[in-house]
Amino acid sequence: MFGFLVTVLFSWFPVGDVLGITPADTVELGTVEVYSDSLGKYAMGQYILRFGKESLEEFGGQSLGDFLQARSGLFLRQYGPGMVASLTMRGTSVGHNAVFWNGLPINSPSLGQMDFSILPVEGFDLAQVHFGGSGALYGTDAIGGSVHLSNELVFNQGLSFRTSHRFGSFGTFHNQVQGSYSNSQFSSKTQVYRQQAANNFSFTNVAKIGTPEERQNHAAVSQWGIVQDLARNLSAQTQVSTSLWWNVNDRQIQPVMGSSNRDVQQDQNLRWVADVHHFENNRVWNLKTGYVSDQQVFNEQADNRTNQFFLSGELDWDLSKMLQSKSGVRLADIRGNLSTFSEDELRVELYQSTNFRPTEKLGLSMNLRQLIYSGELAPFTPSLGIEYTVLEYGQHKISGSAALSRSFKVPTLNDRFWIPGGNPELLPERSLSGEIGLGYLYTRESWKLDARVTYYRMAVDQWIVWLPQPSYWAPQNIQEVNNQGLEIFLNSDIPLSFGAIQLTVNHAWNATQIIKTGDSSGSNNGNQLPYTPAHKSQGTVRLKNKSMGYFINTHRIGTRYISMDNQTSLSPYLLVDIGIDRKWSLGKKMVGSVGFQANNILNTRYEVLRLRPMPGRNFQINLTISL
Amino acid sequence: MKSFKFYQYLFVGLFLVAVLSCTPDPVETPLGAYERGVLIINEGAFGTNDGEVYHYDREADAVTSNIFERVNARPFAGLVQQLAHYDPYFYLVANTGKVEVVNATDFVSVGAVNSDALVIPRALAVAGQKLFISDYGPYDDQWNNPNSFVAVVARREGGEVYKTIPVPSQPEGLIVVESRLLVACASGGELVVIDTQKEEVVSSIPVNQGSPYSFFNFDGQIYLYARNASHVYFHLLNPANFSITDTKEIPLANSIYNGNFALGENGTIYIIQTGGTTDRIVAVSLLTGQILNENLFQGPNFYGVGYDSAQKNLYIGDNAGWQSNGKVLVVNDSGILQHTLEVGKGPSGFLFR
Repeated sequence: MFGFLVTVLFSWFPVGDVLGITPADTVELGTVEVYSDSLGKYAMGQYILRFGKESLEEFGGQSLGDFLQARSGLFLRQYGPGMVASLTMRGTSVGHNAVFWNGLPINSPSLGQMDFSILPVEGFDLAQVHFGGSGALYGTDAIGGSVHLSNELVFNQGLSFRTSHRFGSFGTFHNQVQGSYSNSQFSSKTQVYRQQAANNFSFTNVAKIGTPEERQNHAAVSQWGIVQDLARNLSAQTQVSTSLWWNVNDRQIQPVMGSSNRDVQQDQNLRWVADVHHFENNRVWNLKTGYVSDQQVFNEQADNRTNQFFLSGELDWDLSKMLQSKSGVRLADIRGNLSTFSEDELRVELYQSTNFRPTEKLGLSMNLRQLIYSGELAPFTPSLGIEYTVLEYGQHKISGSAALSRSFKVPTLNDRFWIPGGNPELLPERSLSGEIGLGYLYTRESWKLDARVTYYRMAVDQWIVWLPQPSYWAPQNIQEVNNQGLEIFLNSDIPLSFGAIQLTVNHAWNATQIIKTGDSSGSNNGNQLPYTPAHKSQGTVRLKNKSMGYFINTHRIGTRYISMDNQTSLSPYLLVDIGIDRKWSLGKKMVGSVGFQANNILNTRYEVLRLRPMPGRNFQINLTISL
Repeated sequence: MKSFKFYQYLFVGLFLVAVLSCTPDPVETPLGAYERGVLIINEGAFGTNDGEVYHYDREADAVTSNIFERVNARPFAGLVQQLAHYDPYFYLVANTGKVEVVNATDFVSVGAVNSDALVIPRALAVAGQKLFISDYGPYDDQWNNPNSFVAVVARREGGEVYKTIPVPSQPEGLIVVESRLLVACASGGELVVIDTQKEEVVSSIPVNQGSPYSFFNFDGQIYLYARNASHVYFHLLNPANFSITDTKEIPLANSIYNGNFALGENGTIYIIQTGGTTDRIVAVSLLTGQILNENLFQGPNFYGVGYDSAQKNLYIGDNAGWQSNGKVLVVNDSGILQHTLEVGKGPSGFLFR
């Protein structure tokens, strides 16, 4: 079986020359940007949302969790400002999305998820969200989707220097210093950031008699980090690049109302990746290695550490205009040293992606992946995607898409080995999902309207739930959930005589249906999963001209049930943020911008999670200087 | 003479009419909404502070949810460890660090102990005007509680903690006997006696069999309930010095860790025996120390148990695996299910009125 699989996975390797396919022109370097894989190349039929540096910079000093909550249709369970923020995609759990940094999977192997509050937006230049099950493309965890963060280096830009500063309400400040140098062969970028927030916002303490107005007094967060990117062209066909990101996060844990906890948590995350890309005719070889170290210390006592070492090799090959292939293998050596156990694990993944374009209008992607962990076979995960241009007339283009995929999640180290309760016999969680989409694109000179609607259905089973046992809790593969939903994306650029208007709208409808859960009575069957809003909407209008920019952003999060019985819920809320930004220059060398933002201008009192208050109206002033 | 008597009677009669008409009618205060029925303590789930009290009206067969929030227009916002009744108040002890004081008739909030001194409160007892609150104190790096204490509050309506009395680790149940407060220290393995006037420990009695959890009165005597993984123990206390004078040792393994049990008729005690997917209600005799019925009723996720002496029914709390709100199974003393009540998160205890 295994031999057959290897044969199938790597069957594309030699065929190009054997079949006499004429190689395309040799790929040569000399381009401005450092090479990076195209994320969507083998993801036909699914949608990838991209957020560039310009968008991310508006959230300087904040986390990717804050950014996605405010600027996308995704919902994050935020335990307070600066506190743990967990992403849910398409109505799945917080561990059902994979997160990558420069191609390395960075979800915690012990927790099986990512805390988006400790991913400051300074740590990367591009964030991409891949919607939908994509286990065949990315491996474990990508059941609801995946998030990809990457650093972008450029050549031939000379020396530059940039500082960014932000001051705001509730003791918030952020400083970032960045220096970069590049010529035609070498590129380097270094940045250091530091930010902190007292989070001493006022809130109504409903847990106390008289519901007094109080100031939050145990929610301070401080964070600093360093990011170093390097790239060098070794020859016309070979490029090496490396990135390092060290982030240190120190926070008081905001207590849930009614509790007097004074917990503190320190997180340190070190991530390093190195790539060699070799370009040969119509092939791109990639050798990647990396190291991810996560340390979390809770109350200065419970010390949980994991280290992951990665080595992967990949060949991306354009066999012809019709046929493209990517084959690869990834090894991961995972070492967990948790507060109650130590455990190591070796994972091997083989994968094959193939694109087939029989006509210009029709494209198909087929992806296959097999992961082996600790000698166990994870579910074999195939996926199939299709895109078809239904109509292309003038500036109008209508396209349809569909995708079908299997995905899985390897049980976390904690699920299997935590003492007490860990269950080494757990099976991987698995899913089957399908989606259809319709896209419309209108382009004319500077006009652009890009709209897409996707409908999906998904079934997840063997979902792991921790349940009480006589003396402790233990996980079981017990839950089954069916999801369906609709995603709407709209982006528009409208030129005006004095500038341009940009409009972005996102809406997500996620209906989850519990089929089976840990409560054997079945009384929760058919209910919506807790803290999974059926609806989330987001919209931004941006008005820009040469020197000024204005924006208004709003997002609305619908009803969230607080438990599976759907008896108690949190009310929907709507937040509105506004901002103004002015670019300036001083002489020929110095440019910058100064801006002002008012967030939650309606002063909405809200909680993302019950009894965990969030800040009311607040203000920020930004200043950037570039040399 | 007859005429005199007539006028005498008339006078007395008029006098009585006049006097009685000037006397206020006997006070006929309507019963408070929660003075009858069953109060169901729903502990709430860790990290969410969604503990609450539900009310069950036996006659109307109706459950009223979230009565604290319903009456006071704010969530309880805590994990309910104990609902202590000392007229005219109920004390809702939250192990998340507070005590709420409500009227026992209508649940209207009248006060609270919102002191930073409280860490993990477990139980409350009233002695005179003072409140005594057992508290685990903070955890150390091994998840032990070496700095446990009993907190003292001056007023029955709550207020600040003005004194803490160090006691052995993990104090649980309390009982006041005249001027003495008895404290069952589960991990410390001791019964501590505190002078409620001087507010100091006056004696400590080692409990060598089982971890002591709580006290109860039966037949005019004070008992201490203790348990370990293999047995449950009922220690009879000497009312003079609170030493252990007799112990009923019952070989009941895996009694529920939270120390819940219910005292029924004629010294019958009902205890939850946990068993993974299937839990059982075991009936034991306090008088003989024998197991009367090793499987009176069984099911999953049993968490609390209470005995309704008015209707001779057992109330069993089912925590639904902490996945959602729980339910209460009402079972007669023959182990036959009578009906099921939909309640809150983690039903852990009952107060029958």
